Amino acid sequence: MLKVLAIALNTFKEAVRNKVLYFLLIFALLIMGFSGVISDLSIAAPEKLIKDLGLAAIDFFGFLIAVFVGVYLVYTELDKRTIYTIVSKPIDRYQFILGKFFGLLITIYVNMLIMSIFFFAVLYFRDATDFDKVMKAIYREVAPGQFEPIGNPQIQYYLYHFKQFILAVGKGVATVFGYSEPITHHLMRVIGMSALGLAIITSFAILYSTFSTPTLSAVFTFLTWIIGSLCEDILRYAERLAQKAGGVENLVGPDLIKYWFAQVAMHIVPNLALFDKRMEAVYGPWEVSTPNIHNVPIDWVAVAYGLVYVAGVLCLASMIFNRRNFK
Amino acid sequence: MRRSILQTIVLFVLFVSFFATAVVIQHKNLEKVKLNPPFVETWMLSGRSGELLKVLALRYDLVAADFLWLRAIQSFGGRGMTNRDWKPVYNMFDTITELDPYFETAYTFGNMVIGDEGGRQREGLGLLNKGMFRLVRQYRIPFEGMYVAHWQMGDTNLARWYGRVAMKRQDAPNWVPRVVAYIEVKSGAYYIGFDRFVANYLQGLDANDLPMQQIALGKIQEAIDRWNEDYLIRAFDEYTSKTGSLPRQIEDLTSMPVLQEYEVARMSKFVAALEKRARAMNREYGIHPDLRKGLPEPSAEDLKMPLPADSLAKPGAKWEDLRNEIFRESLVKQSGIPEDPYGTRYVINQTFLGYPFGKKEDIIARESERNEFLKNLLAGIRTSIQERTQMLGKPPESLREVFYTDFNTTEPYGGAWQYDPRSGNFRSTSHPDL
Repeated sequence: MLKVLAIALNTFKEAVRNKVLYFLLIFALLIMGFSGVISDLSIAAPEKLIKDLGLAAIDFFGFLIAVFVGVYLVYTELDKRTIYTIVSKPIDRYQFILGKFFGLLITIYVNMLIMSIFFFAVLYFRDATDFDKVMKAIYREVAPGQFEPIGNPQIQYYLYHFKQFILAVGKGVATVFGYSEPITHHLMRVIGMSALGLAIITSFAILYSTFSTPTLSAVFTFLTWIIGSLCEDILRYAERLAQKAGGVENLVGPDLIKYWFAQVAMHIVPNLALFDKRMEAVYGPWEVSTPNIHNVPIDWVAVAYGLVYVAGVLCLASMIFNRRNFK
Repeated sequence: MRRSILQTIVLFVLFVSFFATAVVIQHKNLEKVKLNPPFVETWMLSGRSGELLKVLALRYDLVAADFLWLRAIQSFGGRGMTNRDWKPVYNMFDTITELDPYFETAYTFGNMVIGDEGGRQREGLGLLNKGMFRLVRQYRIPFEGMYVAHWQMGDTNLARWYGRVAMKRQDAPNWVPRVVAYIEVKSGAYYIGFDRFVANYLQGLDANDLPMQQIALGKIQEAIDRWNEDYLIRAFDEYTSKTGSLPRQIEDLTSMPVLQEYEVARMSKFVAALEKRARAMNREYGIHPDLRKGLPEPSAEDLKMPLPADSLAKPGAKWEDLRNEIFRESLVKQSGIPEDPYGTRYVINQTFLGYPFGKKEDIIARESERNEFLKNLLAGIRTSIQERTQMLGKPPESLREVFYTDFNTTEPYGGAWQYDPRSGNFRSTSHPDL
C-alpha cells in the first residue's frame, strides 16, 4: 500500500508540472466566470444557467485532464526508460499501475476541487449581488417609502461587492467541505458522482496507455467516453428495432445482429449516464415548503457500479502490463 | 549575441505589425456588425432536431438547451422587430424542451411567443401539453393552458380541465382556486386575462425587460378594454330591448341594470397601485416613463391612499410577489360607464347603430377611434366621388350617381352629411373642418 502511495504521490507531482493541466484549468475557470455573465442575458432562470454550465465544465474539463495527462503517464516511463529503475525495485507491476491511477486521480480531483470552489464562489457572489440585495445594503429606510444612502453610495457599492467577493470565496471553500446554502444544496454530491465517472475514464486512459501510443490512447479514451455517454441511447435504439419488428423473435438478418451487438456491447461499456446527476441538481425533488431546494439522493447502486467497474479495468490494465516486454 | 537581439527585435516588430493589422481588421468587422440589422437568422431547427441534438450533446444536453434558450430569446426579439414569423421559434422551443424536459420557463415563455404574439394558440398549447405532465408538481404550465384556452380560444370546457389540473398541483398558490373559480362564470375570462398579463408585466419589471413590459402593458389595456366592452354591449342589448329604440349617446346606457354595481379592472387604479408600490420599494418607477403615453392618469386620491397593512411592498421585494395585491387593488365595484384604459372615453359609433351587417362590438368605440373612423370614411367617399367626377367630366348630381343606391351610411357622431353637387364637396356637419 505504501508503495502504491509513493508512486501515486510521485505521479501527482509529475502531473502538476504538466502545463496542459494549467491551460485546461484556466479555461474551465474562464467558462465558469463567463457563465455568471451570460446568465444576465437570460430573462429567466439565470441560476440554472450558471449551474448547468458550471457543473458541465467541471465534468468536461475533468475528462480532458484525464485524457491529456493520463495517456502520457505510462508511455513517458517507457519512453524515457525510467520504468527500468522502477521494475528493478521490489514493486509489483500492478502496484505501479495502481500508483499511476491514483496519482492521476488525485491530480484530477484536486483540479475538480479548485473548479468547484470557483463555481460555488460564482454562485454565491451572483446571489449576493442581486440588484435588490445591493440596494438594501447601500440604502436604509428612514420612514415608510423614504430611503437615504448609507454613506457615499458609490463607495458603499464597491465596498459591498468587495466584501461579497471575499465572502463568496470563503463560502466556496466551505461548501467543498460540507457547508451548503439553498443554491448549493447537494451540489457536491453531483460533483462527487461526476468524479466517480471520471475515475472510470481515468482507468481506461491508464489501460490504453499500457499497450499503445499516447495518440492512440487518447483516441481510444475519447471513443470510450462517447460510447459510455451514448450507452443508454444505443440500448434504446436496439429496443426500438425490436419494437418495430414486433418483438425480438421477429428480428432477422442485420437487424438481429445489430440488436444483439448493442445488447452485449452496452453491458460491457461503462454507462456514464449513471454518474450524471446534473439534472437532479437543477430539478431534483423538493418539499412544498422549500420549492427552491432540490435534493439529490445518493445513488448507491451507481457508486457500487463505478467502484467495481474501475477495479475491473485496473485488473485488466495490470494483466496487460504484467505481460508487457520492455525491451 | 547582437544577431540574436536583432532577430528578437525583428520578430517583435513583425508580431506587433501582424497583430495590429488583425486588430484593425477586426475593428472594421465590428463596425459592420454594429450597422447590420439587429437580427439575422442564420440557422433553422426542424421538428426532429431535439432528438438528434440530445444524442449529439453527449450528456451535456442541459448546456445545449441553455445556449439554445439564449438564442431563442434573441430570436424572439429579432423576429418581433422584423418579419414576425414565429414558426422557427416554435421549433426552437420544441428542441429546448426535448433537451431539457423540466425547463418550465421554456414552456411558458414559448407559449407566450407562439400563442400570444404569433397567434398560433394550438401550437402554444401543444408545447404546454408536452410540459404539464413532465412537471407534475408545478401549477404554472396548466394554469397557462387554462388562460390560452379560455381567453384566447374561448374554449371554456378545455380551460376548465386545465384549471382543475392546475389547482391540484403541489405548488399552486392560494389564488389559483380563486382564478379557476371565475371560469365558471362567463365574465371569468376577463379576470383570468387581466390577472395573467399583470403577472407578465410584473415579471418584466423584475427582469428589467422593457419590451416585455411594453407587450404586457398593451395586453392589460386590451383585456380591460374587452372587459368594459362586454359590459357596454350587454347594456346596449338591455337598452334596446327595454326601449325598443337605439341609444343616441353612450350616457343613455348608464341606468341599465348591468352597469349597476359591477366589478371591473380599472387601468388608472392599476397604474396607481404600481406607482405607490414602486415608492414603497424604493424603485424608480412602476411604469417606465416611455410607456406612460396613452395610459389614464391615476387620481390623486388613489395615489394618496396608504398601502394595506399586509402589503408585501418592501425594499428588496420582488414585483411578482405583489401579484395578488395589485390584482385586488386594480378591481373596482362601480356603476355607470367604465373608464377607457387608453386614456380617452367610450362613445357610440352611430355608423354601426342598427347597421345589419356590422359587428355588435363596433358600436362601442373610443373617442380617438371614432375620429379616425370619420376621417377614413370621408376619405373613402371623397375618393369614390372623385373617380365618378373623372368619369362624368363633372361632379355627380347626387350621391346616388356614385353609389348606384341611396347613400344611407350614418355619420359616426350622429350628424348629417353635406354634399354640394356644384363643387363635388362632401362634408360632415359634426366635423366640417375634416
